[in-house]
Parts: sequence; structure tokens; C-alpha cells
Amino acid sequence: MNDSILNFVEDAKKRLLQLQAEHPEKKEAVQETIRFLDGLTKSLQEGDFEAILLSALILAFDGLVALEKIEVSVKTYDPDGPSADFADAIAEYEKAMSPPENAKDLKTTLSKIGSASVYLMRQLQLFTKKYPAATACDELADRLFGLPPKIFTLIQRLDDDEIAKLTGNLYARSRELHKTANQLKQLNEVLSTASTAVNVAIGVLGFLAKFAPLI
Amino acid sequence: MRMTIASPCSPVRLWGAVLLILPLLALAGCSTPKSAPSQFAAFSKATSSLAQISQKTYVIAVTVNSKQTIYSLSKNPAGFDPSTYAINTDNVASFGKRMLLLQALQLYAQSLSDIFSSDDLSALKTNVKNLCTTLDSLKANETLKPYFSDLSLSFSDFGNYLGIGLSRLFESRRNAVVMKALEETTPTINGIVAALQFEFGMCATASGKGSSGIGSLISSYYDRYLIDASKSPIAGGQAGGGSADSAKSAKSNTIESLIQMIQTRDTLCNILILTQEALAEYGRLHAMLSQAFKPDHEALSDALVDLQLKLQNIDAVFSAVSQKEKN
Repeated sequence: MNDSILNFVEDAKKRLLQLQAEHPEKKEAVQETIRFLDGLTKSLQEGDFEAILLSALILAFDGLVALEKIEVSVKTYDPDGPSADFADAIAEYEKAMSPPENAKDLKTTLSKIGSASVYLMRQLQLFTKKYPAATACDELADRLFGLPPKIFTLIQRLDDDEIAKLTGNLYARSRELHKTANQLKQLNEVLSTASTAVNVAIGVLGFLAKFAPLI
Repeated sequence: MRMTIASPCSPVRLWGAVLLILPLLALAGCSTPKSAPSQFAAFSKATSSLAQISQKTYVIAVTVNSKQTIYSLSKNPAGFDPSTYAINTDNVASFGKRMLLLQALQLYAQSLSDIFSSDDLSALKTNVKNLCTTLDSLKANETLKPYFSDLSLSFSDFGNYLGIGLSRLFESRRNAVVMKALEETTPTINGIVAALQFEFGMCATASGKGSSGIGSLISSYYDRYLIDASKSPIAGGQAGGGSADSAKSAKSNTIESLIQMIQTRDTLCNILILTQEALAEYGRLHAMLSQAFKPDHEALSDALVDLQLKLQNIDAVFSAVSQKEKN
């Protein structure tokens, strides 16, 4: 699992450098993101909880990005659209990934992401069972399968000291992260070479940036 | 405020009694609303429901502790440390102490209701004596001392005031005794409510700032279980070792198992939230009980109905959980 996250980070960095080549004026934002990803790659190699958080968020945002494709897929196979349970599962997942302004704490948010991913996986599996050709649903269910263990491990491992340390770090960097995420988002929206990896990196940055000042 | 005069007929003591009762009579008035006895009966009923729910919550703690023990022993027999429990309910004496406290709360509320339903002086004296005996024994009980040590009045002395003067004003005297009892016990009841709230605590996912008390036990147990359950098919090699269909089936089973675990955890955490709310409401309601003596007491009636509904709701959630466990 760690290898796939490292591959993701490498891919995101490669794409970011391509963006930088096409838009030299965004060099600062791209470099900031690369530094962020490098720092977390180091953490990942050291196996600490920031790395687990990064890998969980990457998986979770990968799922979120894939959901757009899923909605198209579901409509293709079932003209009536998703069942009420499926629609609820999608909505809950999207909600969990966008912590509201009154988000209470990291554990609560992660717990909601963990539970929402499990419910979404079940609905994806049920849909695939009904429509075996809807492979996008099956693939997403498979990809999300690595998420709950990471989330539950984080919830279990994050004690008050670790949360204080993590949120302290994030708070200090939140403004820069927010600025960077917005710059990259704008950039990615106008580029024809928009990549999933960059979208996911934006999601991770945006999540952390939005969350940190609330604590 | 505790009376320590030796002679029951000493003038000082008599004056003390008069001084004690007169303001209470003024407060209580001579005309008690007809609905007052039913208010106290409703309070007693609510206390019993709350005590039963609290007892069930402690049983959850014991059950989760047992599961935690079995789980921890199966994972790491040498490293298991029961002292890490947020609340040690494994200990029989410790569990018994809590049950005794809940029983005391019920006895107190029942005594108040009995006093209020007394229809003659003899019954009133018996019921007041029962209340005083109950409260004094609780005060003297070593196990419960921390909860009752704040009671400033000796209830045995307090009970004696019933027999002094103003014997024709039965209703006023009854009201005065109840008013005084409410006034005296409010800090103790608040203390018990606070102790129960502290011990029940909240789950990490509900409190927003970490878990506490029994909530901590629930969070810890279910999160650990969820970690292992979510890894099981891959860790056990089932997904990789068999056919694609069996791997899918294994994943599907894992997801179903996770959903059940998440639902049970969320329900138990929700019970804690609801119980915390009911406890806070109970404390407020006890402080409002003196309003039963006033003709205009809609707020008290509404609060009693609200509390009873809240408690019924919690009981229904408990029943749903136990039904699910049976299935």
C-alpha cells in the first residue's frame, strides 16, 4: 500500500513539474506543493502517523475524484439513477470529505470518512452485483478497500499529544496550504492536461487547509 | 446548620425549629395544587427509569470490558493491562457501589413521592421517617460518603421537627418538609448527576474533543476491532489465495461485518449522548421540583413529560441493540 502511495506522490510531482513548465508564473505554488509532498513522503518512509494520514487522505480523495465517473457509470447502466441508499452513500461520502465549518475535530472527521467509505463500498458492490459490466464501480470499491484500516488505525493512534502536534503544524501552514490549493485548482481547471493525481493533491491540500484553522 | 443540641425540648432547639419552618411555610403556602402529588410520582417514575438506563449503561461497560479482555488476551496475552481501562467496572465491589448509588437515588425519589401522597399525619410521619432513615443511612455509608458528605443537615433531627407545633397545619408541614428536603439534597443530587456524567463520558466521535469514561471504552474497543476486521481478508491471504469470486465474497463479508460494527458503535455512542442529555435534564428538573407547590407550574409539567419521553427513547434504543445482539 505504501508503494502505491509513493507512486502516487511521484506521479503528482511529475505532473506538477509539467504544469510548472507550462505556467512558470505558478512556480511558487507548484514548488510549495512539491515540498509538502516531499515532507510527507519522508514521513511515510519513516512510518509515522502523518504518513498514515497522508495515505488515507490520498485514498479518500482518489475515491472522491472517482465518484464523478461513477455517477456517469451508474446512469449508463441504470437509467433510473442510483437507488436511494446508493445516493445517500455518495452524499455522505462527499459530505465527510468536505468537513463543514463547524467540524469538531480530526478524529470525528476521520471517523465519518471511515464509516462513509464502508457504506459506499457496500453500495458499489451491490451495484456491481446487479450490473457486472459496471466495472468502474467495482474498481472504486477495490481501491477504497484500503481506506478503512488506515482510518481506524489513525483514530486509534492519534492521542491528544499527537493531535496537538499535528494540528499545530497544520495551523502554522494552513494559510500557505490554502493559497497553494487555490492556485493549483485554478491552474488545473484551465489545463487540458489536468491529471487525477494533481486533483487528488489539491484535494488533500484543501482538506488540510480548510480543517486546520478550525481547531 | 447541623443541630447538635442534646435536649429535644430545649428552648434553643424549639426556636430553631420555628425559625426553620416559618419561612418554609411562607414559601409553601397552605393551598397545594392538586396536581402536585402526581408531579412527584412522575419524578419518582423518571428517577427509576433513569436508574435503570444508567444500570444498563454500566452493564455495557462491563460487557465491553469483558470483550476487550478476551480480545486483548487473544492478541497479546503478556501485554494485557487491565489498569488501562477508563473505568474499572470489572471489580464487583466497584460495580456494586454504583448500583447502590442508583438504588439510593430511586429510594430518595420514592420517599418524596410517598411523603406527598400521605393523607394523614400518621402516614406523613412514617414517610418522613423513612426518607430521613434513607438519607441518613446513605450519608453514613462509607462507600457512598463522597456523594452524600455535602448534606449539611442531620435528617434524623430534621424529621423531629414534624412533631413540633403547628400540628393543625398538616398540608403546610408536609410541604415544608418536602421543600426543605429538596433544598438540602439539591447539591447532592447535582453531585450524583455530575458523577454519572463523568463516568459515562462520550465517544471520541461524538464529543469532538477526545473520548472519556465509558465512551472511551466503547471507542477504544470498536476502533481496535475495526482495524483488524477491515484488514482481515487481505491480512489472512484469503483475497489473494482463492478465486476472484471467493476474494470478492471475502471482501463483501468484511464490509458487512464492518457495517455491523460501525452501527453498533454508533448506537452505543448515541445512547451515551442521549443519557448525558437526560442526566442534565434530570438535574435541572430536580431543582425545579419546588414549583409543584405553585399554582402555575406548566414549565415543570412540560419538563417532566420531556424527560420521560427522552428516557423512553433511550430505553427503546437499548431494546433495539439487545434485539440485534440476539439476532
